[in-house]
Amino acid sequence: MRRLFLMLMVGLFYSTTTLLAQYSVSGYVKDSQTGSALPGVTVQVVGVNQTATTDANGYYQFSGLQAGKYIIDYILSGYQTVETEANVEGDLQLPDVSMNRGLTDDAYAAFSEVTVSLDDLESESRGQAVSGLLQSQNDAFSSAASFTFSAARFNIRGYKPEYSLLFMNGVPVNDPESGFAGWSSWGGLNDVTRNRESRNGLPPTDWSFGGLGGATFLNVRASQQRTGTRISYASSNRTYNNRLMFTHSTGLMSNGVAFTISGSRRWAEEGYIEGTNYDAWAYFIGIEKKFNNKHSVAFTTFNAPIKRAMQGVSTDEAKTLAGTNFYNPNWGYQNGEKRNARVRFQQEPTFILNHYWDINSSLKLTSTAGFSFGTYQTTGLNWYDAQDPRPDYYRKLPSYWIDSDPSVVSQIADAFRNDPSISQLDWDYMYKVNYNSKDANDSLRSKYIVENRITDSRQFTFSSIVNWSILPELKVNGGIDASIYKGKNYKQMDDLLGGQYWLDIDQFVERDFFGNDSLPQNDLDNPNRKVKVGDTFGYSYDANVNNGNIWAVANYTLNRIDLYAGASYSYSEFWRTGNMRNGRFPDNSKGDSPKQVFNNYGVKTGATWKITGRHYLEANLAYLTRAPFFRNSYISPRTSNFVIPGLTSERIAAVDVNYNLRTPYIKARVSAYYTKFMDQTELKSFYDDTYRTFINYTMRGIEKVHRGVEAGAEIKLSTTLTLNTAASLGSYQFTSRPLATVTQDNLGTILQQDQVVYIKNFYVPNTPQTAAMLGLRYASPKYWFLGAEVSYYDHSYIDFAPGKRTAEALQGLEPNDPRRDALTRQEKMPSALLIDANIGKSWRYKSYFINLNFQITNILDKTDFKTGGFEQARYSITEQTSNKFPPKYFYGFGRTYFLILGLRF
Amino acid sequence: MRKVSFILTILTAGALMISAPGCVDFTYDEVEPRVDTTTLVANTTIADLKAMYPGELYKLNENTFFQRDSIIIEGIVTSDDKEGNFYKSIFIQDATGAIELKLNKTSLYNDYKRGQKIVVYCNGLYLGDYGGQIQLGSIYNNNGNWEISGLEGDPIIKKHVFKKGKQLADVTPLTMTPALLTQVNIGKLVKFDNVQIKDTLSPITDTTYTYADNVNKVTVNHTLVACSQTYLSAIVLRTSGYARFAGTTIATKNGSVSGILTYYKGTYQLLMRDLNDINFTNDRCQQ
Repeated sequence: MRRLFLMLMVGLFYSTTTLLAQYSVSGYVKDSQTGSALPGVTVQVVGVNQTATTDANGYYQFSGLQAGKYIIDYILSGYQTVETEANVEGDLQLPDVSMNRGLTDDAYAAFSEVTVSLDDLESESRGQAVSGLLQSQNDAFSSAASFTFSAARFNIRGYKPEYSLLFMNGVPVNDPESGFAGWSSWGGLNDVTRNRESRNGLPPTDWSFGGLGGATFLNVRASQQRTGTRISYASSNRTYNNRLMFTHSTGLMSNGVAFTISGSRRWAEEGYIEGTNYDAWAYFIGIEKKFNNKHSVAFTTFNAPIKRAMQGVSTDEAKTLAGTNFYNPNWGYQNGEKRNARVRFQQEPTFILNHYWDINSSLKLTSTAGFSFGTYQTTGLNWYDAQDPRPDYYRKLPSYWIDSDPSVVSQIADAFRNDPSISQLDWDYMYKVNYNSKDANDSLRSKYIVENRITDSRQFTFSSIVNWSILPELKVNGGIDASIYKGKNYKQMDDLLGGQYWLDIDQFVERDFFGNDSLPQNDLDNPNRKVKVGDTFGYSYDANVNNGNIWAVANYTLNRIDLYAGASYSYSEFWRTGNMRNGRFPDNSKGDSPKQVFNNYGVKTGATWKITGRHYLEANLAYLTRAPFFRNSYISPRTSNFVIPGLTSERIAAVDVNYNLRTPYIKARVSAYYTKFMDQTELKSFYDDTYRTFINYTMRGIEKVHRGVEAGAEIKLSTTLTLNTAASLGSYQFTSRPLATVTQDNLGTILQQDQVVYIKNFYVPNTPQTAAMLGLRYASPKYWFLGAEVSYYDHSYIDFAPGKRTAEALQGLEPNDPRRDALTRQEKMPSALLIDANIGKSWRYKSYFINLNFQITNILDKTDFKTGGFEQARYSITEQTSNKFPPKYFYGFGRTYFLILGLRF
Repeated sequence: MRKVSFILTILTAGALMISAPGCVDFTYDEVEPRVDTTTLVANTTIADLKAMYPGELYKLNENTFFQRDSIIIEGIVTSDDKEGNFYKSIFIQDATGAIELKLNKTSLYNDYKRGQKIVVYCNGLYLGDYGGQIQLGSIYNNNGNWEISGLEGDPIIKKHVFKKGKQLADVTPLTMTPALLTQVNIGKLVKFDNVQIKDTLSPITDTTYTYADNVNKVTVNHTLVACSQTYLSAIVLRTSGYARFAGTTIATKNGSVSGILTYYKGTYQLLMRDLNDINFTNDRCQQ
């Protein structure tokens, strides 16, 4: 310790007293096979906060490097990373760097896309983003986290995806309503979104103040796309079966114009999960014009419409009866065809205009304007005064009939095993009921319907980023951005299933207040409205969210130490605009709600100590506050304006320490981190047995601590053999007892106030807190490769129902009553070991390149791998057990393959 | 050459994508209206079936009747749970009698409308009683005691209860007289003429009674009286607290009321299906 301190002091002294000259380093990068310039290559000075991207001529430049020895990495997706050493003693032009097409990297990039569709599992949450593509360049841990661990829903440091920021050519793409990063808005555009710069963890980047979990910048500039044409076909048995994709980029032509076009289709009549069909299209057009050495303008537009039938989650009992962990209760036969009740359709046409202005060699200004309008729709069944149509509803499963004649119970189990009209949705029955539902006027009032829950959004964004090298040793990055968002949320009638209309009332309120005509009305201004196909009904409101953000970071480079410090300030406002007057809340549902305004800030600082050219020690410190998202702020946004009690910005304090090792044979990093979240709020809605109605459960004052170590290493065993390993040992826990407010959804009545939720020391659910992998890759000089990986996951916990961890739930239970433990214990999911492998080869014929890559994941076909789960909030109040409402689980796919045949010229 | 390949590629890719085999289908043909029917024919009357009840839980099987292996009854549905006064049961009747069929399912009117002819395959089902009224159903273990209960949801109901045809029959309620108020007519659709509700005013709140307590969801019995005839036992008008009309103030006049005749420990009870079953328009008579 003393020695370390001494070294630190010496280092500081040395660096502050010795003001050395600053030099610039530049060079060109080209393709080793064709000899043509490679644009879009990320050039990184290892251990120094310096990155550059090659331009259309393959040219890059750094300024502000001090004399010394450096390792420089050249990174481009689809190419093998090149590492060179440079001895800087003055302004220097490095020799041209030639990059080889890398088979493995290419294959990884191609395979990675598939992981995105894990969000198929999510039923409600919008576009559950998976960090599958977040890959910090050239970091063994980060690439393991994004490629291997993503199969286990691994979140780096346990952070939810909303803590990572995502930019597309400068436009922030996190959904303003919920914070989710919408990876699926460019699904199928893999070819053009390869160029990306990521930064994991706390440090800011040149183009963003960054979040808590890092930031990713997708660079889709036409001038930096790889020149040429690429067409590929992929076959898989995952969410889709077929994929066709083509891309053409002109590169920067002599007239200063670059042009990129890309398109794809992915489809399946039935994916890995029964009853899930899939149809996705995508297009991308990018144009860039370089007017002169100072000004370039780029225009980009893309869209990826995806329509897909969803997988539902179910209990283990239903899955056991169905004989598969991939049982999907969402579909049933209609006229002999499989029909899925939950179909999601989404698209978001986006238009981006960029202006790149190199004011002088030390000052750059990048300005961006974006516009997008999207739709996000999910259909679902609804019913009125009729039997719950879901085949796995708890009253339909054998366990509900525990007190019945055992021979009858086995008949029920047999029926579930053998009769699809029992184990799946029974569309024929629903039609039959509707046809049999004549009202007093002889019209058919539908009892069962398919409704479509829709969010139509539009968003304008503007941002400007400046990169200014004030002094050779001082560089300042900063920016401002603003966005205006409106999301229209409503329900639309999709299918009356043979009936003629649906009455727009709330059936729970009708039941409890029979005879009161105005209370059950969803639209009081149009009471007892008969809803036809295409009509809006149920609820309709707009989410208005406006954000403004300004930030600046100063980077100061000394001989042995790099320092940075930065701050950001953000303004957020949001309000709800109700488009329907709800019968329960006639005065608090229609029109504009009061505005919620939040001012937030963040500060970050850090230092890198360059112990030697091969050893770096880095530490970062951050304190951030963040406005709550619209989605989590209203008690019941569908019906009323009420915000949750104690709505406040959350606060985050974080620190990490990293050690980086760079030798020609080993690249390794070890990090330790500690993050504390404070003042978080959470909202859950569910059916409650005590009140026989839907309730909203809001918790405030949630505190969590995420701490742990992560390490990764890439070890070159020989020129052809590489060993990769990574591990994350974390502990992500709740550290407070939040206060809950329970309100009845349809009436707004407060049922419980400041109920203490005893979840201190509970684990943050649904991500493995332990993950490790070991991989071996053989890359033959004869253009083929073979790789295999083993990964291990443990300490993943299911999401818990807070209502069961209250004094009220345990009332009257003796301390040794087993029901006490059964209600309160948080279930840990079993650990799992997975093995993946991939193989690939490429051929060259004249200027044509052919790639064939094949990947098998989960070779052992482990089909009982629980990647997540949640407790049902419902439990029996009288019996004080949740036996009839067991948890539901997500399972990772069994053995699947992905085969890609690509042609490039 | 490059240009040609490029154009060719785009054309091929485009053509492939659009003409890709198996265009993914998200549309479905509507299910046509269909009539459920069955070829099963009754071989036992409801009266004969009820006659087999030994006074305690009894499982119907191939030995119940000497002459036949299977027991099949047929009847017309007379009850209706749409308004919530019936819960998880339907009443069916044929020319000989009526019986309550217990089904563990709600909103049964979606499946079995009034007047629907149904066939019940009884083998494996149980006869039991509740307060002296015979019921047909399944059994469940109530803390060690086996009791009659409803058929356990669709998988079991599908095996025993079949709708026969689409035509809804019109059942004329049996007009009651003191002589007809007997065990034989329990479960039938009946009608009482010239009756009134005995007590109409609550002595506590001094307001007219409602049919039931819809606030606390408590069932209420109101006594029916007929001034012109004398029934040997009391008749109550029984309404569930969950009925939609539970909170409606009772009809205070005199007239006719119909419903299903049920029985509990010596008391005959009338269960209305909805408020159309009560028609009190005459002046009250002297009780």
